Parts: sequence; structure tokens; C-alpha cells
Amino acid sequence: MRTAATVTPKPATPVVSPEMAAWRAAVDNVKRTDPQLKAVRLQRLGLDTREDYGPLFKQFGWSQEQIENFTRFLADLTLRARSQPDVGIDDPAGMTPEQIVASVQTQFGDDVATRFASLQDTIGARFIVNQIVAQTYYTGESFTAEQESQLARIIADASAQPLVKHDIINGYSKTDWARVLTQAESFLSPAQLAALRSRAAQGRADEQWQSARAAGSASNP
Amino acid sequence: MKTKLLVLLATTIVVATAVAVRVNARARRAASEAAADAAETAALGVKIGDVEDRLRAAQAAHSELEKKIAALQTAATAAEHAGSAGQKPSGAKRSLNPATVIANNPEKLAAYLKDFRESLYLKYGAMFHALGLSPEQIEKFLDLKVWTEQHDMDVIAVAETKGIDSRNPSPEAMAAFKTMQREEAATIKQREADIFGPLIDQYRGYVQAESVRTLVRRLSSSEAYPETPLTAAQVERVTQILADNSRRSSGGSVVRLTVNWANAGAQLEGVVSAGQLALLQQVHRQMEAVQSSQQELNRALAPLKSSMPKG
Repeated sequence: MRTAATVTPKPATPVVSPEMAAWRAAVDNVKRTDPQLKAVRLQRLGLDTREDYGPLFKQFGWSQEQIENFTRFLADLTLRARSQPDVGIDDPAGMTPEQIVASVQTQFGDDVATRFASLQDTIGARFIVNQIVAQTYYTGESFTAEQESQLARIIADASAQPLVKHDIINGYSKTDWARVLTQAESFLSPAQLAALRSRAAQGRADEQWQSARAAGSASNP
Repeated sequence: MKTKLLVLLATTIVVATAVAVRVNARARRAASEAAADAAETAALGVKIGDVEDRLRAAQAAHSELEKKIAALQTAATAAEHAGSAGQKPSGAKRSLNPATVIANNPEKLAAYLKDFRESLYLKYGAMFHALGLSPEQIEKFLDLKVWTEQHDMDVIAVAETKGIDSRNPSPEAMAAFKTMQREEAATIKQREADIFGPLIDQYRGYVQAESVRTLVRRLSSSEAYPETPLTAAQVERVTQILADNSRRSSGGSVVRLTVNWANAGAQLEGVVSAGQLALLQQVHRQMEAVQSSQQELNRALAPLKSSMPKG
């Protein structure tokens, strides 16, 4: 399990004036307290949870009521922990992953917490895998659930920092794609590997872009 | 000087517009760069669209067009602005766009474009398959995408070399932009027609329905949706039904999240199971929630916009 200390660093935040800091605090306060905003955020987090933790619900054969209960719990927990409404539950600013798992453990028990931790640890990697799977539905070589899970584990392990969705979307994530491709050869078909190679190329392009961004900032500060 | 700058601006816009219709990661990055440069936007935490929403709609050409236009309007306007000033604004702190850094280094550019091209197979593979494109057509299509990518980067690099870094489009810049946008769109349309030949209508229909296909194909994951992964045939059939029961833009594209489920649901009987239909609606609600949360955020923060400190 990774810790909050290793959460993906974002581009450096410039020093802000006291006036700006106060204004941002006011913005954060609105984000935390506006009731309508809270309502839609809870709804969104709940729906995200259903997708991100679907395998957990399946494994434990939960009823709709149990699923509702869990999603409400997690959305509430996440919302209390963070003020940024534009990212998902995979980047719980203000809480370490361990703290979230501990909360789940208290509420739902050891087995659920163990499975939850496993899914939480690979949530960004599974997002990447789902990108690949969603783009290859036509190949006739569907990924099995086991292949998806295995690939996600490999991608997570080949990433020095935790993968979170919004970083992946914005091209900030870093993964050792050569390592992923090598390890995936043993359990993916040629068509699946071709898809993975294409996604790896996107990852490399993103990383080149990221390096160029850093170089651009450094060259003309 | 003014004429020269307008020529630069026009050139920028021509190539920019070619890029605008692309559906690729560069478009998202350009939009992100624009957002990063907009202090007010960044300070408010209001990004150009929700990032997750953007990913899910990444294949929606209309949406991407708007984002790309927004990003490049900034660049084009900046060219005008910097040109009238004659130089980079005094004391301005400005980072170079990543496109400039890459485009100005031949080795980096070659490596980047190689990976960019390879990444397109995943992005467009389903379209190649659905339309039954020949290897030659696929290569030409990829060539077009890479060409527009490189030219977009070149434009940004040239513009930044000229001191671009500003906002507030002038009326003449906007007029030039719109004119060039129309001209370049026509050029792209012609090139696509050359590539796709008799398949051009199928291609455009495919692209226009991409916003709903993005939703539907998410259910092909057996790990995320273990009970009900959709088959390839189901993805295309469901996409067509949802597209037929959604609103269309004036350009013909399916407008995101406008599915009439009452009508679509009846047509989907026999195509998908009740469980699959429920999941489709769940994913649809999820995407609506992404959109709603962004709208609510904008509403909630609107009163604070005017009080944001300068600098």
C-alpha cells in the first residue's frame, strides 16, 4: 500500500500573496459548504464508487441496499476529507489511503477492507486498463476479468507513484511501460498486446510532454 | 508590421483550425495549457471542463473543437497583442509551451511524433475496423493526424518565438479566426473525403455518434462490469439506437447526455439485457453527475469571481 507521502506531485504551485491565499480559502469554504454543490458531488462520488469498486460488490454478493450503504459511506467520507470537487475518490486529499482503509475496516470488517485496499491501490491502473478494454471491444479477443486485474497490478507496480485518474487524463502519470509490456507478454494475446503497445505509446508521449513542460518552465521562468 | 502580424495570426489560425477538429490528447493538453495560463481560471479551480468528463468525451469531436478553438484563440490573440506592443510585455513571466520545447528539438519531435502515431491505433482502431479501411487508408489517415499534430506544434512554437503571451481577442483577430476556421475546416473535409472515398458518409456518421459510443463501450469491461460485458456487435447496435434517440447539433453530431431513455429503452429490448440496460443508464447518470458537479461548482463560485485579487 502506498502512503499519502508519495501522492503524485502536481506542477509546482507558485507563491501567492496573503490576499490571494485568503481568497482561495473563501473559495475552498464555498466548495465545502455549498449545499447544492455538496449534493451533486455526493451523487457523483456515489456513482464513481459503484464503478471503481464493482468487483468488491460482486465478490461479496452484496444487495443493492448494501451497495447503497457502502457508496454513501465512502462518498461521505471522501467529501469530508477533501474540497476539490473535480476529481474522483482515488485522490483523497486530506486522508491517507491507510486512514480510508481503516475507516472501511471499522464499518465493514476485515475482509471487505482487505479487498477494498487492493482495489484502491490499483484504481488508477484499472482506469488505464479500462481505457484499453473500452477501445478494443471490436477485436474479438475480450480481456477476461483476470487479465484486466493482472494487467492493472503490473501497471500499478511499474509506476513509481500512485496513479490517479485526473493525472492520467492530463498526462501527468508516469509508468515504466517497457516493463509493463515485457511482463504482459506472458498472459495477453497478440491483439491485446498490440492494444497495450499503443496505450504505452500514449503514455510515453504524455511523459515527453510532461518533460517538455518542465523544460519550458525552467527555460523561461 | 501590422500586416505581417496579421499574416502570422492568419497562418496560426489556418493551422490551428486544422488541428481543431482532431480528437486526440494534444487537444486536451492544449486546452489544459490554456487553462494553466489563465490565472483566474486556475485560481477558481474551474478548469476547461471537468477533466474526467473530458476523458469520457474525448472522442466527441464537437466538444474537442470548442476546446481547441479556445486554446488557440488565446495563442492567436496573444500574437496580435504582443505584436501591437512590439515586444514581450515588460516584466512578464511566461513559460514556454511544451509544444515549443518539443518542436524546436528535432530529436524530441521525432520521438514524440513516433509515439503519437503509435498511440492512434488504439484510439481509432475500432473505427478502422467498423469501416473496413484498407491498410493504405489507415496509413493515410494516420498521416493526416500526425501532420496536423506537427503543424499545430509548429504554429505554437512560431507564435511563442514572436512573443505570444496574452488574452483578450481583438475584433479583427476574431474575424480572421472565424474566416480561417471555415477555410481550414473545408480543407480537412476534402482531405478526409480523399482518404475515405465512398466511405466518407459512414466515417462522418461514426464520428458524430462517438459521444454515445464512449458511454456504451465502457460496458465492455468484464472487470468493472463483471455480469454484463457488451459484445462488439452490441456496442455498435446500442450506439446507433442511443444516437437515434439523442439530440443532434447543427453539424450533425450527437449531443452528449441527451438520450431519450423512454424511447431508447423500448428499442434496446432484445439487444441488451435488463441488467445491461440498467448499467447503461447508470453510466449515463454518472456522466451527467460529472457535468452537474462542474455546473454547480461554477454557480457556487460565481459570486467570488469579481473579488479575486489581481496578480
